[in-house]
Amino acid sequence: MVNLADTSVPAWAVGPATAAPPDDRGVTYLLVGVGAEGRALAGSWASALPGRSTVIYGDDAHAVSAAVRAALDNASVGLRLWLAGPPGDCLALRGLVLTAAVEEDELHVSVVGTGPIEVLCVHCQTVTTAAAIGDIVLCVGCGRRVVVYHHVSRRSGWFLGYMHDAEEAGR
Amino acid sequence: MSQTLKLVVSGIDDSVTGIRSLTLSALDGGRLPPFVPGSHLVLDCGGRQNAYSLTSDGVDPFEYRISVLNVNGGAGGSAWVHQCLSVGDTTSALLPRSAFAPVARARKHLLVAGGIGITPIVSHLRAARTWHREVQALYVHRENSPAHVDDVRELAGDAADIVTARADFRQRLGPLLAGQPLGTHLYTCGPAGLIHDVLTMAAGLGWPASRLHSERFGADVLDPGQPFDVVLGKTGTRLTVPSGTSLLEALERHGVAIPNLCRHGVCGECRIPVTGGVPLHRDLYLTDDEKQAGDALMCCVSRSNSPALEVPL
Repeated sequence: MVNLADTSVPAWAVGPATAAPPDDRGVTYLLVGVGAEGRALAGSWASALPGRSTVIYGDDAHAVSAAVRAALDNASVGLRLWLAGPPGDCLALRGLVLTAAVEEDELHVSVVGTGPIEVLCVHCQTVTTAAAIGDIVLCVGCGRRVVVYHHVSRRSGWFLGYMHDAEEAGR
Repeated sequence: MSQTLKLVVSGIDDSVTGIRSLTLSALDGGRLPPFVPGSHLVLDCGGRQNAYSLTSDGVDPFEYRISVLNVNGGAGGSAWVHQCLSVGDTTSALLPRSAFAPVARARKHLLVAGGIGITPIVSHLRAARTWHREVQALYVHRENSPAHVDDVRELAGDAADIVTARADFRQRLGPLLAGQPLGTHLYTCGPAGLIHDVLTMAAGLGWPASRLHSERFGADVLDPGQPFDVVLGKTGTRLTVPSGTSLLEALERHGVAIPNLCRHGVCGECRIPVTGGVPLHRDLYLTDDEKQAGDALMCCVSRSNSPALEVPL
């Protein structure tokens, strides 16, 4: 059995949310809350950082991505970025912010709430939503039944998916 | 085992007081191994091995250039370079190594140097110009020892701020560190005190560890350290490691052979396990996690934070 700790899946995406407080040695904070629970958590972070934080809220990763990108374009070193939201949205936003030059030790993620994750079909390069790692979903691009493998892209936040029964005769 | 390069001194520049710049070439004048910016060369200095930052271009090089500060009261390596070397002499070196390389995905490189610590920064500036990377530099040097000032001006132009007064340096440092675009990585090299001040101020301004890079080579040697004891687990023998003597030297004197190479805490060859006591890590080889674990150390440079260390040798 594969230990998820030895894969590219970050601990925060699968385990219980850690109680450890985020690194608060930043000068300014960009707080991003996705979904109702994410919004509530980001709001509580903001109230603990009076005058030092900017908060961006939205219903999903897509809804906040333009605002997050714009905020990072104008940011200085000293910024910390804290994300709160469902796992799939957090994985997508992690990809966005790392691509925008945020370092791992400037980023904190708290997964709260539930929502789909995204899986990239290796056969047709189409992205389909899924519920959890290990699930088998019907690819919306090619109709193959793909398994959501425990490998996730840092850049896109998509899990890797492949036809689960490709080796079986007669398929 | 690392490859050793045979090199010939093909040029000497003594134009800056107290600093000798060497140009080194292969014996047959051919290509030398390439290196990334910020690399150093562990040079054989008349029997002592000293590390010096390479200041030349590392892409497909036919020569290596290093600059050596004459250190009064040093172990003798720099004095050997200054007094004994002439054009045409041969020496040897290990392949270039780096613990101070640029980060390819950095949005900008901020380079802060003091004195002879400018040497790895010069190679960073050279690469930045070649690859059109954004850089900014702050360089403080003594009025009478303007090492590589012309190189810095030529390579960085307006992006370099060069000062000679420590007060001016300090005054500029704060605003410089406070106003860098996200994605900037900081590189600092110079005397230990300067590196400490720069890193402390940066941390206070919210710079995370991943963006901070420092290099001590070419700037100063490690301090001699406090004496401590080492207990050899196999025999129970207790040795004292005096100030100024490395653990490696103490073990060798006692007849314990330890594989070793650079003797500067860089190559990783002399790593030994530790079964008791608290190591004082001074190497550039172990990761932070490995240092934290405290169950191994590089005996060429590292010492002890506790009165005694126990090693299973």
